[in-house]
Amino acid sequence: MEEKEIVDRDELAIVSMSTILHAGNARDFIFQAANKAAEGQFDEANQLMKQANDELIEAHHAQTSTIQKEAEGIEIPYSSLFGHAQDHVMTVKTEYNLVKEIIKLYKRLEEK
Amino acid sequence: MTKQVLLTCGAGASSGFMAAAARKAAKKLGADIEVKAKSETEVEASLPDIDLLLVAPHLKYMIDEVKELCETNHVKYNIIPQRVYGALDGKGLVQFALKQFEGED
Repeated sequence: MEEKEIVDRDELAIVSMSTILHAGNARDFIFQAANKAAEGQFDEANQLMKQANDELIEAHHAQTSTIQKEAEGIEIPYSSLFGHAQDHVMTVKTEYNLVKEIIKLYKRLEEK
Repeated sequence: MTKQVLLTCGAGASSGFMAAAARKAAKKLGADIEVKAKSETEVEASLPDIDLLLVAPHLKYMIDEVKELCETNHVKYNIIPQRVYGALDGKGLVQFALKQFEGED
């Protein structure tokens, strides 16, 4: 019988932690950006959103590289921590999109 | 006396893994600390029973809140370094925790 390759559990835990950390960094930048926009400092807010996006890309990358292994026939063991890490990425991504809209609103308020 | 250390993160999931690694390391190192993990919603209620609160690095956006709570309750606090947390480095965490108690009797 052919032996199936499986992602190592410890390795998966480390990937999950890295995903969570990058998502957390992104969230920190997003909240800072919202505060800057509230103070009318839009250049700073946009800069922070860019930094947030870079962190989100890193978080996504860690997650995607694992998911793609499944497509290559490598089995990913079930891990609640990995699921939790994916939840982090999606939640922060949503916050990113929402704060982007909020920054637009602040800008419009100031133009009035 | 055994120092009570609480790790916290959003849901207590990643900090749970971190605490498990730290407990193993503390046993190995013979460090007199007890490490637990809880979600951030349980932190306030736990403060009277702990000596040190260590916050997961991805929760640094709420550090102002933590600061206020800990100062009111006279509990030490700090943010766990990313390299320790990301690598689930139990030994690193124990050493970081012990460092917070340095200069005490």
